[in-house]
Amino acid sequence: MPIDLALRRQLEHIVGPEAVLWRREELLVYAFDGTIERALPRAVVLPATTEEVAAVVRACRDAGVPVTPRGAGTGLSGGAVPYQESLVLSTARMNRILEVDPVDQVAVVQPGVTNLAVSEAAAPYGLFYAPDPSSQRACTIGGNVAENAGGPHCLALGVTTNHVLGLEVVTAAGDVVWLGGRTRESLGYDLRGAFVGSEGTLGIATTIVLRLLPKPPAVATLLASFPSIEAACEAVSAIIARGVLPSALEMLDEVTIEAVQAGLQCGYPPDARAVLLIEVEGTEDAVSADAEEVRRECLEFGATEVRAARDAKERELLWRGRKGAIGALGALAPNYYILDGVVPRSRLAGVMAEVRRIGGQFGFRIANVFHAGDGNLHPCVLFNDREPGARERVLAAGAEIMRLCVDAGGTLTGEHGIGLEKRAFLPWVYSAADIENMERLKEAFGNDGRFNPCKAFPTGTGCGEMAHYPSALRAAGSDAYV
Amino acid sequence: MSERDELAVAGARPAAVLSPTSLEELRDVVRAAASDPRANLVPAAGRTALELGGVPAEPFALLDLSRLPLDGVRHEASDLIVECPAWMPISLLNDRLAGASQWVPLDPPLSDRATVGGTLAAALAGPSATGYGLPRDLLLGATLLRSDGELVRAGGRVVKNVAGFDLLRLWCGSLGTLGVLVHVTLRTYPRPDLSALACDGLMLAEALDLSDRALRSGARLRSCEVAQLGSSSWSVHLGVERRDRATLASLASWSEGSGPPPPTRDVGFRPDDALTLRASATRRQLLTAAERLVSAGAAAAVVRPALGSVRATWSSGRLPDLPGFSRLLADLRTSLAPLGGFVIVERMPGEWRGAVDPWGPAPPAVALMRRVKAVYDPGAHFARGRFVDGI
Repeated sequence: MPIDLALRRQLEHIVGPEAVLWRREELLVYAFDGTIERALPRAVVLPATTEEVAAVVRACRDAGVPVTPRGAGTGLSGGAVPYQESLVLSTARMNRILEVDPVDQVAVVQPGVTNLAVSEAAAPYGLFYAPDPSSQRACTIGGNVAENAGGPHCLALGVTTNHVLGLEVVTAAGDVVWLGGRTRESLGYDLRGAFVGSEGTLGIATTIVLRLLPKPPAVATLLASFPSIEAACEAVSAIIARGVLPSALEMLDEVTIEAVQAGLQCGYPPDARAVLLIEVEGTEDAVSADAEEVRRECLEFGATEVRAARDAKERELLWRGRKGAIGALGALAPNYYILDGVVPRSRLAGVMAEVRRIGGQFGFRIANVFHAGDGNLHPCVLFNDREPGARERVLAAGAEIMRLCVDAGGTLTGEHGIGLEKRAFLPWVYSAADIENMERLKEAFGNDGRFNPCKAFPTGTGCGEMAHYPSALRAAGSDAYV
Repeated sequence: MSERDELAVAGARPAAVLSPTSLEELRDVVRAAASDPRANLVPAAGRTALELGGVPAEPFALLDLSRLPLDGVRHEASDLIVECPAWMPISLLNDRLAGASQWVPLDPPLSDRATVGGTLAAALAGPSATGYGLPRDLLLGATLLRSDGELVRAGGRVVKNVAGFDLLRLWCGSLGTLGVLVHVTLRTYPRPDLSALACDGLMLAEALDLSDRALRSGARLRSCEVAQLGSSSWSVHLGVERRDRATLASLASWSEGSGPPPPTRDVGFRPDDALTLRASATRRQLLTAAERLVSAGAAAAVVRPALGSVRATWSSGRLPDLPGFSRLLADLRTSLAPLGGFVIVERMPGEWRGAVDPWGPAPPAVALMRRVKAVYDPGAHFARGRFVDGI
C-alpha cells in the first residue's frame, strides 16, 4: 500500500523531502534484514534529531500507521522487517558520537553509530566498549540496544544491558524521556534495563550513554584442537568450573573448520574435530596463570594440541577464522539457516550430539560455531534453497533444535532475539500468563499494537499467518556473521 | 539511636503483621488484599532495610515472609547456578554452596540476616558489586507473585537469555511495589582466593586516585572501596585475587586488611548509625560529593568508585542540624541529578520524617514509572507510598 499523500507531506515537512523515501525502487532494500524474511514498507523516514523522531512517531500514530524502527538491518531474527506495511523509521542519519569522556569512562552516542566506531573512538584513552557482535563493523548501537546484543567477548564482561547506563528514548506513544543517565544505578524503576532487549517494541533510543572499560594490560589467545566435539565441550565446562573466566571461549566444529581452512587459510588444524578459541585477559601474572590452567584442562580432556598466539598478528589470524566462519560456509553450501539457542554448559556435549543426529535425520550437514563459554549455540543448517522442499525441511530441523535447547533447560535465544523468527516458540519457555505479563509493559510505553508489530511475542492481530515462516535463512556470503 | 522498632517501616508501625507459612497461604493473603481497596501490603523478610523509602500509606500490613518454607534449593554446581526461595537468608544460601566452594556474591549491609529477595528488591549492593556486578546482574530468572495473586516468571536458568522482556531488571530495585519475589535463579561463582589489602592515612583525593590506578591495573579486584572510618584520614580497601597482589604492590604500601567481611560492609546500618545517605554519582562528581558529606560531620563514609556510590552516616549523638542538612541534601541532589545521579536517605531519625524526602525529586521518567506501576499493580496494593515520588 503506498503511503497516504497527506501523511507523506506531513513527514516531509518534519524531516525534509529528501529524508522520506516512498518510491517502490527505493523501498526494496528496506524490505529485509539479516534474515530472508521480507515485507515491503509503506515508506522509509530518516530523521536526524530526537525531535524529528518524536514528531514522526506521533504523526504515524495519529494516522494509524504502524512503525518499525531500523538500525543497520543486520539483525538475525527479523526484528527490522516491516510487517503490516509499517513505515520504517531508520536511524541511519543519527550517526554521531557526541562525546567520549575518559574520566567518567562513558561514550554518548546516537543510535546509528556502529558498534566498532565506539571502541575506535575510545581507544586513544585506553578504553573500549565491551560487547562485540561479529557484525560490529556494520551493526549499530541502537540495534544492539534493541536486541541486547552479545558477542564473543561477552563471556566475562556481559552483554549490552551490562554496558548501557542511560537512554534517551522516544516511546511508542511519541514521548521523549530519559531512562537512567551516566551513573551505574538509577533512581526508581530500572526502565533502562527493561528497555534494552525489547526488540524495538517499546520505543526508539535516540541517545545512548555507554560504559567504557579500561583495556586490560595483557591478553593471551589460545587455540586448542580436540579429537571430538564432546571432548571440547567437556573442556569448556571444566575451565569455567575451575574459576577461570576467559574473556572469550568460542568453539568451531569440524564442518566449520573445513570451510574456514578452504576459504581463509588461518592455520586451524585440518584434522581436528573441534577447536576452542580461548582468550584470557588481565595482568601479566594472571594471564600466564590462566593460560596455563586453560592449557592443562584442555590437555586433560584430550586436546591433541594447544597453540598460543605469539604476537598480535598470530592473534588476529586465529580470530580471522572465527569471525569469518559463517561467511566461509558459502564454500560448503549455497544457503544456511542459522539458529541461536542457549543450553546449560553442562549439557553442551549431549546437545551437540543431538544436533548432529537431527541434521542426519533431515539430511543436512550442520556447521557449529558458537559461544561455548556461555552455552550459546549457533547451529548453521547447510542446504540448497533451490532443492524442492529443502526450505520446509530446514525449518523443521531448526524447530527441532530449538525444542532440544528448551528441553535441555535452556532457552530460545541468547543474543539474536525472538523477532519474527521464534514468535511461535515462545510458549515453550513462558506460560500464557508470563507472556501477557510481559506484554503489559508495551501498554505502559504506549504501544497500541502498531509499534514494530508482530515482533517478540506470539500475539498480535493480523500476525498469525506469519508465524509459520520462521526464518534466518539467507544465501551465505562473505558479509555473513554471527 | 535507642532501640529500633523491628516491625516499623520507615518509622511507621504496621496495623497488622501477616505471616503466611506456605506459598498457598501467601497467595491467599495477596488475593484477599486485592479485593480490599484500602489494603496495602509491605513485603519483608530479613527486615534489614525496612527504614528505606517513604512511609507506606496507612494503615498497612507487614507481609512477613520469614516463616515461609526454605525448601526447593537446587544447586547446579557445574553450571554455576542456584535456585532458591527468594526469602532465603543469603548467609544460609551461601552455607549450602560452601561445600562446592562456590558462593552467590551478594553482600549487602547486615548480610548475616538479609535475604536474597530483599537484597534484590532493595537493590542494596555490597563491596563485592565492584567485582561481580550489582545484585540485578546476578539474577538469571525469577517468579513474582503479582498483586492479583498470579505467579509470573521472567528469565530462565541460563546465563545468556534474550527471550521476552527483561522484567527481572524491573523487579530488582522496585522495593516490593510490583509484587513479591517468590523464587529466584542466581549465578554462583567459585569462591575466590582473596587477599584483603588496605592503605591508610590518605587524603580523599589521593585515595580516589589510588583506587583508580588499582581499577585500571588489570588486577582482578573483587572489591575496591575508599573509606573514612572514624579517623580523619581516608583509606583504600581492596579485595584482590591473591595472584594479582604483585601487580598492586608497586602502587602503594599496602597492609594486610581485615575481612571478610570488609569493615566497610555494614557502614550506615550499624546499631548506632542514626542518619545514613547514599549518593550515586559519576566518577568526576564523587570527590566533591564525598568531601561535602564528610565536612558536614559524617561519622563514616564509604566510596565505591567503580559503582559511583558514596554512603555516609552520622551517629545518634552527633547528628547535623536539620536545616543545614536539608540544604546540603538539596544542593547535592541538584548537582547530581542532571547526569542521572541521586541521593537516597537510607536511614533517618523518626522526627525528621516529613521534613526530609528519602528519595528526592522524581526522576524524569516518573510518569512512565507510574504507568508501569498501574499496569502491574492497578489497585496499588503493594507498598503504596514507599517508593520514589510516593509510588
